Amino acid sequence: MNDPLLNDLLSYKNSLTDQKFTAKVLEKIELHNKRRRIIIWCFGILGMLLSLVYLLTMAPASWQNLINPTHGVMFTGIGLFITWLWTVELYNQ
Amino acid sequence: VNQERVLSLVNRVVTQVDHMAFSRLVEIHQSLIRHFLRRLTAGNHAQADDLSQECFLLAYQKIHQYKSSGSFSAWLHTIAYRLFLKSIEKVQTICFDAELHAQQTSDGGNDADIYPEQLMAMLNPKERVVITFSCAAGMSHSEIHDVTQLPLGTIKSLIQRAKLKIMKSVNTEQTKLQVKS
Repeated sequence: MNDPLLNDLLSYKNSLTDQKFTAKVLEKIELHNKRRRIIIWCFGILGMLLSLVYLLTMAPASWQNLINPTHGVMFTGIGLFITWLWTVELYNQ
Repeated sequence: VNQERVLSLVNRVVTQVDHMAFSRLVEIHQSLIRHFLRRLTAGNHAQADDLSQECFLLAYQKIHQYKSSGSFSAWLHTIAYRLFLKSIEKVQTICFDAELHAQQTSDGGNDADIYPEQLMAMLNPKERVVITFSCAAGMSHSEIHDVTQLPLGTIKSLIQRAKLKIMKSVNTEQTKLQVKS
């Protein structure tokens, strides 16, 4: 806008650059990353536990039951998900 | 702000996840964004600073989505504007209370900087947004349209209306001063 008077009226005279603000933002980022890591670890551990329980309940019946197309798709999905989680986690470190 | 320097900092954050580079970006842009939000909130410094922090946090999370075709500052302004819109959805009315304002600005507030906020308080949120983008951020009408998605005609009339209100208030103030003297 080419209106010097308005520009002058609405302009702030002092800069607002201070280290405290920057430190607070970085602190929030750190907190956010920490929370994210906790969520990933909790879901990872929960997933492993559920997988173990599932395998243990299936094992006595017959190991051959484990090899079927449904399980193939499921394990591939889990593998891809873990790979994605790992990559995202590394990326955000 | 040197755009090349900013781009190299953004690049360092995206490729090396460099926190120091991001803190430098915060240092460079914090004054702009905090002033922008102080205008939009009509001088509510606490709310403006909270929104500014949220804005930088969101920028950090989404920095890989930033396209270098536009300026980084305009991208930050867009984030700040959307956060402001979200915040006013929760509280529909923003009123200017001089006493409350004095309390909120007591932490390092400056008398010279209260006047722009008082002027902003007379405008409605949409007028505040367009006049701030136009005046303080120096954006063109089409850039304001890109950020706010408001029609160009509406943007022009909002700027005109805001300008009239501000000039009217300034003239009234001046008349009062002349009468007193």
